[in-house]
Amino acid sequence: MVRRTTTHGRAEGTSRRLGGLTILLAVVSLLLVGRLASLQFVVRDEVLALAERRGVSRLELPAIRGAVRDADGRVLARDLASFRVALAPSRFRERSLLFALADLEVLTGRADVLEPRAMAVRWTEPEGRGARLEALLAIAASEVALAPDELAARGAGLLRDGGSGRLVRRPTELSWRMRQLLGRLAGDRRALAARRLREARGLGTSLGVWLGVDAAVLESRLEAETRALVRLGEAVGLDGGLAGVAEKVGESLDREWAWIGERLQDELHRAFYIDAFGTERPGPDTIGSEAWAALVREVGLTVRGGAATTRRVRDGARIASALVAGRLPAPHDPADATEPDAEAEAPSWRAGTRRALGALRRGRVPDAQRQAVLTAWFQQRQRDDDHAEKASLFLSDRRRQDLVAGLRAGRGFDFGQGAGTVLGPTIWGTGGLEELGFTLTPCFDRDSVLSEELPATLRQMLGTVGQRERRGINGLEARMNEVLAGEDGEAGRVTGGALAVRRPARHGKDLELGISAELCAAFEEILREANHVTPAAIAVVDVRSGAIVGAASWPVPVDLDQARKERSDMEQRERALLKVRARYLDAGDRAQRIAFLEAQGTPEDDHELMALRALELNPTLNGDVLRRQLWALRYRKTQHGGWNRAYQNPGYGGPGSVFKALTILAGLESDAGLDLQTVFDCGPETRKSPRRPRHTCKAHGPAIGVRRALQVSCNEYCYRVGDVLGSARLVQMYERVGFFEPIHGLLPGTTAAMQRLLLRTDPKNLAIGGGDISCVPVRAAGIAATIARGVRVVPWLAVPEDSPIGRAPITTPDRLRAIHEGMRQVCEPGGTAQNVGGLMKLRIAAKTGTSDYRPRLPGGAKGKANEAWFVGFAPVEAPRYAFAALISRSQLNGARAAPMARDALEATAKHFGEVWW
Amino acid sequence: MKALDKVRRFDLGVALPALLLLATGPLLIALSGGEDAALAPRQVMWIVVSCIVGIPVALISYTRLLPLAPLLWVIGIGSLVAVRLFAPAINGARRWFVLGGVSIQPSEFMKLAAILTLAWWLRRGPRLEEAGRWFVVLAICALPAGLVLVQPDLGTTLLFVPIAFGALLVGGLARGRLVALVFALAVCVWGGLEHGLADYQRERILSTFRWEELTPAQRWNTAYQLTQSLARISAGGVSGVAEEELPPGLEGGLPHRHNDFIFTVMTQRAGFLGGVILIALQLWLVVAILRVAQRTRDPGGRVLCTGIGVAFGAQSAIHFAVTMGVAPTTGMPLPLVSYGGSSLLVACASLALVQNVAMHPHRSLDPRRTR
Repeated sequence: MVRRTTTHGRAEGTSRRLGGLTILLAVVSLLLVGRLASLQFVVRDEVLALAERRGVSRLELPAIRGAVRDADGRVLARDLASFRVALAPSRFRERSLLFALADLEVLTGRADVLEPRAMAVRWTEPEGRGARLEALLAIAASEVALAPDELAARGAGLLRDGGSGRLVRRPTELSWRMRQLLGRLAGDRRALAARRLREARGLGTSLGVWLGVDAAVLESRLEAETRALVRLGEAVGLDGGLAGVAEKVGESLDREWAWIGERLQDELHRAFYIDAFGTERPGPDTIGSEAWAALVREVGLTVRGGAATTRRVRDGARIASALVAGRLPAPHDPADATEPDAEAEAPSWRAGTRRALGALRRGRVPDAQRQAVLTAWFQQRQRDDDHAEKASLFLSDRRRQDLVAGLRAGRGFDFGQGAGTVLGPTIWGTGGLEELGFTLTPCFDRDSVLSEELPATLRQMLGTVGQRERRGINGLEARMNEVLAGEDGEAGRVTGGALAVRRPARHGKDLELGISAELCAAFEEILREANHVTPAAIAVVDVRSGAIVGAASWPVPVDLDQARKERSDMEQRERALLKVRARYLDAGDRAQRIAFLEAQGTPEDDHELMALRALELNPTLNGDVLRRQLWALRYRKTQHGGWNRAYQNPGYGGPGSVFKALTILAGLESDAGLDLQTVFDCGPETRKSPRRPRHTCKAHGPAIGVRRALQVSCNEYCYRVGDVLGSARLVQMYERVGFFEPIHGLLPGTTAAMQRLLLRTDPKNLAIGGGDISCVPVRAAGIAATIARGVRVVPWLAVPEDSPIGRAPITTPDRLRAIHEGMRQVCEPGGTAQNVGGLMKLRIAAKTGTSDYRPRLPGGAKGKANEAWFVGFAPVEAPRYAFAALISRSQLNGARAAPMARDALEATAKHFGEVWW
Repeated sequence: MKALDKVRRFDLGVALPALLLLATGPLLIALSGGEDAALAPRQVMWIVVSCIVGIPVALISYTRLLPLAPLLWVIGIGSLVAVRLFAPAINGARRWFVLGGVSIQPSEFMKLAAILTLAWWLRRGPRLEEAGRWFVVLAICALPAGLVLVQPDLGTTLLFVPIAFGALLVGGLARGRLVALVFALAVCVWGGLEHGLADYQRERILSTFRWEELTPAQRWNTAYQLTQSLARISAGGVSGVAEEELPPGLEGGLPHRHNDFIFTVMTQRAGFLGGVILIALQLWLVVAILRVAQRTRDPGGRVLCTGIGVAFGAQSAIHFAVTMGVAPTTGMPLPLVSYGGSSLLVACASLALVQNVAMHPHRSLDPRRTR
């Protein structure tokens, strides 16, 4: 009984355990259902997004930045297709590459082997990583420009101590590829020369025929040159110089190649693009986004100026291959394309191609076959291991150091977008770079060549092209970035599927400027010929439209780094001069010191020596002379600050008497009882200026009216008007003529704080253009245009959205006429610009202005400098152009700026074919 | 009459889910797409063969079969050694004999042989308290597990653990010892993870548990199958999607979906509902098997059913867990559903044995009870 109970109890226990097991399984099942629900409802989107990321290879369709054109339609800035180049160590299939390069660094004694310039690509279609590495090392070796012997010697130096010859490093410690390279270079000189000869012959034969050049002439020319060089080398007994001779032959070949390349590109342009797309310049706009995306895919994006063109041989081959394979959408039937000519595929491809291309040139080959022949030709060219090209990447020292440090630490390095610009035209295809471990992302880049050709003033207005951004990071390009930039598009390709444009790129809008690059260059020339010691600037505004048609600054805005160096140099010279002047008062002391310095071997450009010699030559380098010298130095310093004085004000003087026209206008427009008949007695007894009690009015007349006040630039008159009006009314007039308005594309508007500051300025001072008011030529020209036209004219660089021309007249016609007459009389006898030749005949209405500026001299004394203005418009009867000429920080008066303005107007009229001049 | 009694005792609770699962298998294989879909007819053939084999196994009393278990175990061990020595390496593993174009996986048969041997060893009732008897239970499972591990086949190896655990559970091992064994097992698992795994196995395990932390590139590289599986399950939604409707990047990309990832196919094509139905069917089947174990009075039959139930349950749970990223990716077919002749044959034979026990509930090998 007991036993049965025990068995029953055990059975029950087992049953309970099985029940527990069942519950456990049920719980596990529930948990699994929970997980399933989580996957399908909670984290679904996240997981699916991951799948989609993998499934769709995204291709960014870079937007082409809008071009900037000047008034003559000349392209000032545009985008070029380029690549963003980055070096990712993880993409190097062989880690030892970095070590090998480090060896090379020691080997060549140069610290910049790792610099991409030294790693310039001269690869020979590497088939494997070994070939790739070897090619890279060969490139590096060739780039460091060492003779093979020297390289080999240095290679030995890697292993042995130079002094004792003791082995300091076992050969096995060198990377084996390095050893291979050293050995190869040492015995490769004759082979190199022979290859060059072959190259010369081959080139002449194949390319010459196709390009319509007499093959025999080209071949014989190249060969003769080669042989002449070889003979020269042998004649001077340069056994080791054979490699050098070969290099020279290579250089001549490169020149030939450059010439041939240009012809080749033209041919390619027509041959491929017209056939494929029916246009010479395919772009998203001309061939549609889909075809564009296909082109991007197939070719790797080679675009110039917003449209594709063939710049590289390999791209031609790719396009041709894609066309033949029907991978590019083409108006013509891809089925027409036939297989490459068997003859062209033959091992002796040059002979075959010569015949085929000859037939092609004579027009005996149908278009479809023509395509095939060209394809075959390019494919062969690709395979030809003689064809190599260098790629140069220029980096600043700091960037180079970053690169080297990055590589050593196993990090990636982004060369930035700019690298592509350099690469683009100089490298054939990008496959090689990718093979070398670089990553390349298609993008667009500002055409730096264009900006180099621009007048410096205009270039500065467009903005400095950033190293990384590769676009104007300030100036017009930065201000108008929203318009110019556009928006990148995106294409996607599902694995194994077709490429689809998901979001087409929205290309930036072109920007038409009112300014003329040619005119700017002419203005710069005018300023250069004027040869002023101090800075000067000109601006001309079209009175009818408000466009700034030309502007120039002298000295031209220069590179800031250079300016900094020069400024530092100037400061040292200045200090040296002061020191020498203070220490060696006696001529004997100076002579002794000079002799001592010369005996020491002091360099000629030593500041102290130069200062001593200056004193030797000019012992009166004291007092005023010294001060002038010092000022000259100071002026020169400010010439190199990168300022563009046509629209930038380094904070010196104001507009001076130029603003008297506005003061008088404000007086006439006010309700203070002034009118055209109001006259003031400006005799000596009526000196009102608290700041200038000894002032003598030039007019000296008992009854000075509006016209006369303008003609003689009467301070007394304007003091009185200013006194009556107060600052508020003057500022109101400035606002009315658009003085505070932004200049679209160039300058922001005047801030409220500045306006408040003007309101607090002494009205008498403000009335004569003094005090805290400051002006730049483009604004002054705008005011002149306003006075000329009688309505507000706000000058602009880029076309503004709102009309720059106001509707409400700034004054009545009779008052305006009076102002015009007064300004006209400025250039007539009795006027402040009466002595300037030729102005009277030119129907110019203008106002001179000379604002004082008293800068602090070293030692606490105050100097004296002027801002000399000549602002006006012409012709008087029907104003066409308003102008402003400025000579800054001079000792001159405003009339001295008049000739510059005259020349500028003449140049403007000539440029636009105006007949009134 | 005896035959009629047997038929009357036929357990529909086991047969019904099993038949449903068997029917689902070829369907899912056909739906799995690609080349795998072509295997559906072969699966049907294997189902027919398995059923034919299952009939005598179900009808001949298991009490007559159990004495053969040790012999089967020895043969199984021999075949595992032979497969290690002579079988060709397929995907880096030596798991299959290929005879006349048919692949045979000895480890699948070894599972059943081990269960039968355990049932034979514990046929006299719960005497595991006796010194050394429970150790034999462990040895019966550990030796084949070791041989399977070196094939290598981690998934099948792991199945021997719940089989042994089930046998010890119903064999009457004291609770304290059970806990101690679980603890020892945990230590062994930890040690194995640390030292006993190949790099790819460790990487696979880590990539599963750290899947969320992986970068997209790593997910599509080291955890490719898992990522594919998760994405497909997620894509299934409530009612499922066709292969063509999958998001880009998933098409044709899940290897072994006809066997090791058949649950993924189910949830992708039939959605959440399909997934829940499949889990429920498996749970139903296992619970029904354990119910048979509960009902039988014969300790041998109980151990047999428990072993089979636990093996089914563990295998299903691991399969589900693997496909849903809860367990490391390992080749574990879903019983009765996944493609695989050996697996199906053994599963059907196992269920036939369960029916056998259900139809002979009072049989006992215990001499004290039969006497």
